[in-house]
Amino acid sequence: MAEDAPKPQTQPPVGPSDELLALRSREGDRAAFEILARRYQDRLYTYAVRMIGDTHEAADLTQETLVRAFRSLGNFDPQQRFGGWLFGIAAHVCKDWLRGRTRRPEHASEAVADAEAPRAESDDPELAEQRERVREAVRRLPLKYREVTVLHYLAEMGYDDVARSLGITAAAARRRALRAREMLRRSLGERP
Amino acid sequence: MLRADCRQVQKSFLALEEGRLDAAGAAKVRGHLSVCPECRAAWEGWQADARLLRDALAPARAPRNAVEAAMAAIRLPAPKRSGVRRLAVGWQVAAVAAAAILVVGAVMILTGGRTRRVGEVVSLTGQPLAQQRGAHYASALGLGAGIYEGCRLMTGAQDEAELSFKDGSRLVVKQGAEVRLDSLGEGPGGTGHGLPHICLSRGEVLCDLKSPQYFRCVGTPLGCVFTGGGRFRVRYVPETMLVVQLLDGAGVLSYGAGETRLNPGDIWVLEPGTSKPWQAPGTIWGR
Repeated sequence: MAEDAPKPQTQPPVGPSDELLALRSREGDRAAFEILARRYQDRLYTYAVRMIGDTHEAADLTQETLVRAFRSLGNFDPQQRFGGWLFGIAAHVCKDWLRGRTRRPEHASEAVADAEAPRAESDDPELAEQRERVREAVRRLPLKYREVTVLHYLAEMGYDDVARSLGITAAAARRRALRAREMLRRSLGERP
Repeated sequence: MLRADCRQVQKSFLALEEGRLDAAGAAKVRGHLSVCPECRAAWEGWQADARLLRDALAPARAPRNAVEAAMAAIRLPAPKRSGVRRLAVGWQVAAVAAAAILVVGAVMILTGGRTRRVGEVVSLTGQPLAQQRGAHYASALGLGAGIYEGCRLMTGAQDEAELSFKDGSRLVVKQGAEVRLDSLGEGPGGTGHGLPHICLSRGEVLCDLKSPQYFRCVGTPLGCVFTGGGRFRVRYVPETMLVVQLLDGAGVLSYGAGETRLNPGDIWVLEPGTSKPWQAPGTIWGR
């Protein structure tokens, strides 16, 4: 990773709110949508990588999510959070891809390369290894537990928003989150 | 084997982490954690796991051309649906629209046509006229009268009004101005409570925004000013010009053909039929 490359978007943006930009996009303002796309591209891409475990496909799925979102803006309710709505689409796109993969023959050389977040120079190999173990454990979670976990920790969504994005109840989202935590704990080894 | 109270406490870790426990519940759990080493260790483990997950799942950088590729795909025409499917979707849309009209109608009848109350005005100087959405007449706005979504405020040619909001934000509506207060949301960034913006139909407003919950966007037919906070001044002369000056903070002037970043002190003028704004001297405010 180039060290001078810009950091992924995680901070709340300065300027027009996502919802206002979404409304402008809905009226055909592509520049407004491009701002939204730039705000979310890193998180959408990482979501796809964590869900499907393939960086090349994840780039395509990020694009697919943005295109579907633009074409579905008519369904966006500005009283909702735009991020939650967008990740709902991303979740569908990833699920469609995963379903399709079960019907397709497995990739001959599947690129399960990892998408590494930019880190400080002081990052040590032990930490990097630990992160990789956690990611691998998340990757092995069954889909319904994985998507709740990734949305919560990557997209920084509360479980109420996670539930809305996935079309499940908040109680179900919390049950899945708890179950995922148990499975991860077992997979990573009990803490003393 | 865990004791029953330990089991209960450990079951509430997620709620504790989310801040969903009420004060008494949280105090009870924290009290238990302070005396029970097993539960304290479990809670520390829980928090450490959360930190690990947050760190390991942090966003990575998307490929450089991800957005460009998506924007190029958006420019292509959307794939067409088959005739049968289009017809089926058409019926669904019609049914949903009919249901929505019924619901909206029922709400309008039940609320007497009034919409959500927005933005608490804690002090008011001047006597602007206010016309609530759906009302036939405008009347003098008094404190406690309430401002509802879509409320139009008008000042006389010699009058100025100043509204102060709960968070210390101020909106000064200059002489002879007309603004519509739309969805002054109460949540951060207005999300979940509507979009905080005002529409300036004519005249001038001075905004002093302490938090992004009130009027972070001022819209006019020529363009919109977006800010995350700070003071800014906007004048709109219908079909003639839009004048914008950011006094502090950061912002953007957005118009049909693009956007211009606003730097404190600069004055920008946007005229109909021109593709971008031009910078004006301070004397423009005297015109």
